[in-house]
Amino acid sequence: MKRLSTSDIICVMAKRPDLLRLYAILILIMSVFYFYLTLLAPSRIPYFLRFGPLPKNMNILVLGIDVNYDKINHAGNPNTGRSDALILVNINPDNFKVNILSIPRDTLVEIPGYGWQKINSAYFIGGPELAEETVSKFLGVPVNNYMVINTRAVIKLIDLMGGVRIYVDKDMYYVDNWGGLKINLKKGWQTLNGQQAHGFIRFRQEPMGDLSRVQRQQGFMQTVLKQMATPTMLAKAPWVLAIAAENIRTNLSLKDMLYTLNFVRGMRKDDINMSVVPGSFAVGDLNASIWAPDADALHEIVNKYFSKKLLAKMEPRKLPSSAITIIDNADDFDAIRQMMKILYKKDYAITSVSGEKRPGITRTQIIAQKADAAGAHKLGEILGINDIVVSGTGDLMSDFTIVVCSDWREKLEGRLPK
Amino acid sequence: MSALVAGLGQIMKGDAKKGLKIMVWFYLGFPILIYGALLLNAYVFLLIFAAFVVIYPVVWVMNIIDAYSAHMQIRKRA
Repeated sequence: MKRLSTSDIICVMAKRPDLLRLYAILILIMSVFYFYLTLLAPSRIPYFLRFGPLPKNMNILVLGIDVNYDKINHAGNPNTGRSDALILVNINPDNFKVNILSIPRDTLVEIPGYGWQKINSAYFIGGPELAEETVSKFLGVPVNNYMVINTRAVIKLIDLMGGVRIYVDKDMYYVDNWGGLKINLKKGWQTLNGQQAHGFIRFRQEPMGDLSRVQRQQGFMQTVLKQMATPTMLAKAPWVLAIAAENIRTNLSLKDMLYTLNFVRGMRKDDINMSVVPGSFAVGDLNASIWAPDADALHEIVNKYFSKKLLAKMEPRKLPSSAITIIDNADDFDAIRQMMKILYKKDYAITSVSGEKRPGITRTQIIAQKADAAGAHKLGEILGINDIVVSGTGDLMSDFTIVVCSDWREKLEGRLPK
Repeated sequence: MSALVAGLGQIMKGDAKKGLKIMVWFYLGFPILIYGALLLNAYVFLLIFAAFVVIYPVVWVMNIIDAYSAHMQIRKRA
């Protein structure tokens, strides 16, 4: 073996800085590429090399709330408004996919502790925690987090984005003065501002009602997500977070939210799977506005996209025989909750709870909307309500409408064990 | 060139040291600082990120102006 002379070593040492310089230049060139790819096309970077990769698989329940906080304030109930849009989002960093399942708001589910009701009542009764529990029980998958988004967040976000370019599939006209909603859109490609986009995703004056709206919301989401991935939006990220802080209630930590936003930014169009809870409109005694899920088809979707382990087949859902609407005339949400519990124990389904007052009614009353006087009396006996009216003045979609007034609280206190 | 890659204009005009300094800060230093903040604390990250939403365009524009003025000086001398 040849021994290195001192001059050889000096020669190698002299050359080494050049090699270091070369490495440094290479690192710098790579940094420049990485910087521009992260800024302009993050989806082109292999996932494991991306800036801030999501550390875990997440199921997030997104609840869109149909409320105008300036105008409505139901005393005693912090969860004002109903979840008009329920979307379960599964973010899977293992295969870089986002799976989205829209749950129609009229889907009939069993709300833990409150019986069979439309799924959108869960938020109204028990807030996002109960909605989370209900969806988890309904689909058989763990739901880790929730995000409650009010309409103002959508309006502000779209305005911040400078509008959203979308195809309006039909002329849309609808005015709801109580909810402060006015929709007036023409068919064709349009750039919608925040208010118009809000109308676009809320419109449901069509034969398929909520289902058409769910489909429209999915298309809208895809367009918005695509637009969110632009570098301009990255520069606007602090404003996006400010809007989120003001208008979104969530139990996601800020760090998880940042990682999630970053994950969404790096997605391609084909990385998103979207589906709707399969089912059909319920027929028979129950009103037709209820969406009865197809347990087999839903089971397949959940197994394919939302669960790593194969889930046991779900039990077919039994439909309740009569629909009850409760009208809160007393602004006493706790008393209504107690009523729901009593009815649940007797196997009744509350399909709707409304905050729209009936000014002329001062005593708690049961209205037999479909002229079932015997049924109304039976219900009256259970609740201890004597004021029973057989008339068509109740909620059109119900069999029985219960108008709850302040005397219900007294009756309730009388029922409690002393 | 400085508009495309920060610091490249300075290198091409012969001021390699300055150009490299800009490049290192722009493409390595600042991003490492931002990422480090994300690992450290989400609120610190937000503050730093918000600051850099302003700092980046300012540094970028200043680097273009600097390269352009160097170019003009060389032309004047010629």
